[in-house]
Amino acid sequence: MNKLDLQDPDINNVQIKVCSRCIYDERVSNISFDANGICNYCHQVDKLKEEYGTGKSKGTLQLNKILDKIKLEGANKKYDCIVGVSGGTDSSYLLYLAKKWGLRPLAVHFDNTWNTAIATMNIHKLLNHLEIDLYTYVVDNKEMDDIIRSFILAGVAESEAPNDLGFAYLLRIAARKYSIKYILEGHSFTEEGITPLGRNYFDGKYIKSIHQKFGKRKMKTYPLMTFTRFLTSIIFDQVKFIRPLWYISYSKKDAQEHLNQLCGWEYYGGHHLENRSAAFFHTIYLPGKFNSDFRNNTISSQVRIGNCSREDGWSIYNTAPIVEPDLLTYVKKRLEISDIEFEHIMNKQPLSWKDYPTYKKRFERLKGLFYLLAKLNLVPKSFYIKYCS
Amino acid sequence: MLRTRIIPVLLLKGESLVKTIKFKNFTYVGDPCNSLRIFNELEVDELMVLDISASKEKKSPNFSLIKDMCSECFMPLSYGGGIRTIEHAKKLFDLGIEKIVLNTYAIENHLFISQLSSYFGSQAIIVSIDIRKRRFAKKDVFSNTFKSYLNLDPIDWAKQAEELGAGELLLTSVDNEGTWQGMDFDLIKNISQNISIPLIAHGGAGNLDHIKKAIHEGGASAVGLGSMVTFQKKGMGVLIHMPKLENFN
Repeated sequence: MNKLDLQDPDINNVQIKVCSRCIYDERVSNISFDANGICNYCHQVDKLKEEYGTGKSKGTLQLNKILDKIKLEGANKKYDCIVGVSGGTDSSYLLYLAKKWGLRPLAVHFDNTWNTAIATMNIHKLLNHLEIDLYTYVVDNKEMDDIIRSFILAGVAESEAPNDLGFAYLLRIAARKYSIKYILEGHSFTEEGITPLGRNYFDGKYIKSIHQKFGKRKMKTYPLMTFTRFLTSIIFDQVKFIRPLWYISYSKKDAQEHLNQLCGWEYYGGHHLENRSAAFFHTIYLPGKFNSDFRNNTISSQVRIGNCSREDGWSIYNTAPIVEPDLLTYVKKRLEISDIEFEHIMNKQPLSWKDYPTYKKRFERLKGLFYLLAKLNLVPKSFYIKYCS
Repeated sequence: MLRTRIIPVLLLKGESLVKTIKFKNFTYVGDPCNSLRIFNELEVDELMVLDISASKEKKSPNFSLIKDMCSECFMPLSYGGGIRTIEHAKKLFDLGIEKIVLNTYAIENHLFISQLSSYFGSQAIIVSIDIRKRRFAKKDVFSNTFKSYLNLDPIDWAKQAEELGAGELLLTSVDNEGTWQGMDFDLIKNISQNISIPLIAHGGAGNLDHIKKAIHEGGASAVGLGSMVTFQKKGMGVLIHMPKLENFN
């Protein structure tokens, strides 16, 4: 099944060019190397660290200013910010921090009905301990399965897009429902890196068109972020997106230990593995069909911050990912894909998002508008970079 | 002393789990198999799944889904919904269902209870009784399938079900279901005093005190939980969990 183009696990025997600082290699999209063999993504991380004062007093000062503003603007409300939760490390730790900083967060969870027990239990333990309220949206399971299945039948890589975009829109829905003006995101560029540009892409039109073509059911409960809904939310709700972990020093490993001691929170064994459809995507579907392995994102970051040597990182990256036993059987059964059909899907020539209708051209035309909105923090800066260029 | 039996009662609508309030206003809860998997990890002692759309849509039990659920579930699983023949029951037991729950068809055909009971033994037969208060009048047995009152005294019907061969009763108060505001303790007491088979009280539990009261004052032998295992807390989001029962027995 695994089609990963694995290289020699010994970094000294490798024939392709690998960054001299992290483990990104020449196959990473839009990569370039400087005279010292350091890749542009390492430089990007350095630049962001400088800009956000990550882990330094500059960063703390900037963040404190933002926190004060959140408290002030939310003073008369039941909640002053939203934190999206998945049961994973970053969002869990961010909730803990939010509470420690004196914020009054509402936890928001997009339930795609593929949760692992460990994720569900983590959310419960943590919210109970911190006394934080939860807003959940559960999609009709059969409808969600139909949408995920349609992406797999379409032969494109973005089978997790319906989850990611559904979650993104749900945060906006919850913000409107409770008139909350700030959404905190648990992303850390030092721990996870910046996703290389051009690797994958998704938007509301992409999801709608793929589902219309390959789905069997009607889209009734899935929160689809169409262009109009997106723009309406930006203009009327004026929610700001904040990534607190960009300003402070943050270690995933320490966070996990801390959460465990705090409330018995447990680690689930890998980035994104707290959800079973995400686990399928990362450990089976992407490596098997697209010869693609997102682990280099996290591993490169771990090498950059010195948690792991370059040699060890490269060796891990070039060893096939560990797949949960039974996961594939479960996915096939749930998505009603037979063994033969699955084999056929995995062997078929991969297609790209460019083969289906999307809003990409429209976002590019409106580049100026989104530049302004990103300046005002009304859309994430990463959105502007990814969608408008 | 026996351990208090706490039974998550999960409602199946089509192929999705839902939760209702007073048998209406359903909310999606999740995928049945995935949810059972989560309950498995939570080390629940027993579970009950009721298909609330089968009888209404005149469908037989969804055997392929039940088969998948049984394979995800390591604890005893009771099932109700759309059971109308001995063959249905037989197939369910073959798939690994521990007890079957009868409601609509037991009302239509009382003797069905006796037939099943003599065939499979009364310990495997739960009769489910839904009670709703009539406007300006007393409580009556209610059929959700036909959306009508049956002009049956709850105590009489409970006694009759026992005589016909039910091994256990599931008593649901429609007015309390999904409200978190407490159970119909009078009703539970009235019924439990008049029958000798175990009674599962269901509908309205919102905290541990409610559960205790149903057992100690109401005389129920088990409590069925819906909202309490489905939502973080009253008015909040869906989050499957089991209440801590340590300080309980």
